[in-house]
This record gives sequence, C-alpha cells and structure tokens, in this order.
Amino acid sequence: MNYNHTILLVDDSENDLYLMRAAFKKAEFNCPLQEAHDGEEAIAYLDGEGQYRDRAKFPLPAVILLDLNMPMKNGFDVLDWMRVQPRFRRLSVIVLSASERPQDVEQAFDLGAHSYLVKPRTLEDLTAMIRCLRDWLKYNQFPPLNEAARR
Amino acid sequence: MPAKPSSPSSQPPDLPELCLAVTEHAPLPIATVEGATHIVRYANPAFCRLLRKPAEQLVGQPLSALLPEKDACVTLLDRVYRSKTPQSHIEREDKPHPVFWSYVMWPVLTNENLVGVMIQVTETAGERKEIVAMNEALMIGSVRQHELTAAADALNLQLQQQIAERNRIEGALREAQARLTDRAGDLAELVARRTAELVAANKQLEAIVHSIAHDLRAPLRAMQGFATLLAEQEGPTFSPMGKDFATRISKSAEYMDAMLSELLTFTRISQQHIELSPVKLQTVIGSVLAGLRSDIQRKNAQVEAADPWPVVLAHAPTLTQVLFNLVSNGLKFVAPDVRPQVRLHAEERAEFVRVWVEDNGVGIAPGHQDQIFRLFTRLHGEKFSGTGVGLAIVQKAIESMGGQVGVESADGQGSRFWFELRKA
Repeated sequence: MNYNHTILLVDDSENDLYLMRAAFKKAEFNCPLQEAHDGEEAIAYLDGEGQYRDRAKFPLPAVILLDLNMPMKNGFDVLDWMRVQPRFRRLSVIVLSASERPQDVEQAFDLGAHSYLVKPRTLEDLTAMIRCLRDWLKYNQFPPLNEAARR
Repeated sequence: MPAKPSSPSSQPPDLPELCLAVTEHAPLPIATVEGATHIVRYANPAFCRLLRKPAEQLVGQPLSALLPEKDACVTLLDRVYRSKTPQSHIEREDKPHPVFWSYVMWPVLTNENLVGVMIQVTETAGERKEIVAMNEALMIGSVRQHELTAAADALNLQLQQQIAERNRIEGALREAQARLTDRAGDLAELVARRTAELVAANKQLEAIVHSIAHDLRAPLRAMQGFATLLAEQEGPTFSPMGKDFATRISKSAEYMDAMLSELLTFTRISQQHIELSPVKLQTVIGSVLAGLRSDIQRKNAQVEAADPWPVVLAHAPTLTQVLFNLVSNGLKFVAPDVRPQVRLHAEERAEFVRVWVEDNGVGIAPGHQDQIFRLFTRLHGEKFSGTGVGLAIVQKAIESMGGQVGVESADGQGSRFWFELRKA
C-alpha cells in the first residue's frame, strides 16, 4: 500500500492534536493528516458538508483516530451516525480516548469501532503507538469507499 | 283427759274428782285464787313447777307476790272479776334471759256468779330461746353468707378488673405490634430509599472519578509531551540546568498521571459489582508473565511458577491485576545489583487456595507490614519507583473477591506475599 491515506484526527483538545502531530513526525509517519474538533465537525467532514465538499482539499480518510469525550456530539455519536451510513461502514475507526472504563470500551465496539486505544501518558509511548499504526497501515488492505453511493 | 273405760251405766262420772285429777295432771300451770287480794287456794303441780316452789309455799299467798309483773297480773284479775270475761296478757322478762310470760284468765261461773278465776300461765322461755338461737344462727348464717357473697363479689370484681386490665394490656400490645409493623414498614422504606440514595451517590462518585480521568490527565499529558518536545527541540540551546528542569517537569507529570491511573484502578475495583466464577490460576499467571516479559528480560529476572495450579472462585480481570501488581513488586523491590527472583506457588487449605508470591527483595520489617497495604504508602520513599497504590489495589481486590491477603517478611530477607481465595 502507500503512505498517502489521509488520517482524520478527531479531538477537542488542541494540546492532544498538537502532540499527535508531533508523534506522527517522530514516528516518521508522513501521511496527510486532517483535523476535526468535535463530533459535529467530524460528521460534517465525512458528509462533505460546507467547506468539506472540496474533496481535493479535504479527502475522505482511510482511518479515523476518534476521541470519545467531546462537546457538541461525542465520539459515540459519530460512531452511531457512521454505522447507519453504508458507505462509511468500510472506514476504519480507531478510538483514541483517555477513558479506560470497560463500559466505554464495550460501547465503542458495539457501535462499530475497530480498535480502542488509550491515550498514553508520555509522548514516547504515543510515538510508539503511531509507529505501530504506520506499520499496520503498510499491511492493511483498505477497500475503496463507494463515492457513487454518496448521493 | 285420761280416758276412763266407758260403762253402760247411766250414772254420770264423779266430776269434781275427775276434774281434780285432770287439773292435777294438766301440763299447763293452773291455780285458783280467792278474795280481793287473790289468795291462792289451789296450785296444780305444773303451776308449782313453773314457779319452782312447792304447793305449800304457794297456797295462801297473794298471787301478786308469786308472779313477776305483779301489777299486770292483778290488773288482769280485776278485769276478769269485773267483766266476768276471759282476759289474756303477755309479759316479757329479760333477766336472766329473755322469756315470755303468757297469762290467760277466765272466770269460773256458777249460776252467773263468779266463784273463781282460772289462770293459765305459760312461760315460753325454753322454746323461745331455741328459736331465738336458731334465728340468730340463721342470721349469722345469712350474715356469713352475705359476707361470703360479698367476698365472692369482691373477688369477682377483682377478677373482672384483672380481666379488664389484661384486655387493656392485650389491646396495648396489639397496638404496639401494629405500630411496630408500621415502623418496620417505614424502616424497610427508609432502607430502600437509603439504598437508592447510596446507589445514586456511588454512580455520582463514579462519574466524578471518570471526570478526573479525562479532565486532570489531559493537562498532564500536555505537560509531559511539551516538556519532552521542549527538551528535544530547544534542548540544544539550553544549559544543562535548563535541560534538567525540562526533564523534571516531564517526570512530575508522568508521575502524577501514574498516580491518577492507579487511583482510578483502585476506585474502580472498590466500586465494581463483580460476579465470581471459576478462574484457572494457570491462565491468569500465564497472562501476567506475558505482560511483564519485557520487564523480566530487561532486569534479567528469574520468575518461576510451580505446579499445581487449582481453580479458584474469582473475577479474572481483577485477579490478573492482583498478580500483575505482586509480581511487578517482586521484580522491583530488590537491592541494587541483585538479580530479582520471584517464585509463585499455590497451597490448598480446606476450602481455600493460598497463592504465594515470594521474592528475594529488600524485605519488610514486621512493624511496617500493615502500613504497606495503605493507599499512597511508599515505605522506601523515592528509592523505588511506584505510586504506593499497588498493594492497596491488591488488598481491595482480594477482599472484594471474598479473600484475604498477608505477608511474611523481615528486613533484608525477601518477602513472601500471599492471598487466599475460595476453591471453585
């Protein structure tokens, strides 16, 4: 595969988004990164609403790193919205949350998440995690998302 | 009148002689008197018996001298003489005892001329006394009966009062029982309410604790991450002291996050409602040792888990946490340059299984063996890494699974930690 798959980072914390980008850099993972700052923005991005219609500027991601605790629709709301959209069922969603609560893990998987990662304490560990992601993406087979079915 | 054999003779009987005989034998006292002073001319034996005097002492005496109540006798006699009709009179004598004297007098007439008066005196003392005595006895009897009746009535009344009292007490008891039932009902309601309140409070606590996870740990992540970036990216321009500061900031943030993380585990274990099921100790130990593999390798530690491993009643994830903490401690609390050695084995004790985690570490003095299970207690301070929560988690976790924990150790002589769980 290639390194060119877009990864959508969904998190309401500016600090966490910054550190994630820093980790991607340290992990030498140069894929395009996009950001959404809450659930509504994430849904708008995926739906191609408003400015996000421009798919050249805002391509559909292959992977979403999704935080759970966000204002205006949280991660669960995004998962819930996605799973009833046939075209987004093929999208790989990795939950990246501060919560270790078993009920959050269960709910995330019940709503269709493909993986659940807990935000690590240190930048080093985050970097290691992203390195993992980089390697996984190298080997993962990504199905095309059916653009035609959007309308 | 004595009966005389009747004869066919038409000769009339000799009446005076017959009368005298009759009078002599009469049971009633009879006397004749004469003259104005009523001198007694004749007294029959009965009359003598009555007055308790012989005839000689009576004949020739005035009647009034012989009888008590002289005046009454004489008056009666006079009346008879005057009226030539029978007269009677009753007199009561009280001494020596009550007696009644009954006088009956009738005139003896010959050709319309009064020739004498027949006097009949009756003393009814004897009979009367007995009648009186009988009456008295009856009266006493009736009084006694009255007393007994009164006593019976009193007893009856008492009994009725006691019954009434008993009824009152029973009534009070029933009322108290009813109140008690109400109260028990109220208490049950109260308990239900309190339980609901506690459950709500627990949920609230859980929410607060979860909020801590997100809200507090996020700035810590930022502190750690940016201090690291600072050291990495700006570090070349820093003095050694500057680099040191950046490192300390980073380490402090890491440490605080570690404490929060362990605290979250501790509160989660305290609050979780777990259901126990059979858990294979062998599986849990395998998973724990796999998780610590890199740590074991890095420290060149020797970890041994001796068979056999029974099945216990536990909650697998919680038990995993317990063993992870105990083995991790065994790898950590060793003197410098000592190769950590940890040995695990199980022992069956009646319906319990005791799991031992033994190490060759720095040991724990008997005086401190209670302290080490307390939250945030780091016996050796910063000499060894850790948050001081690990053993508190172990204790809380084992207790929540119905077991106990303990340690056998001495300073500098390694430690033998144990916990017990029920056999499955």
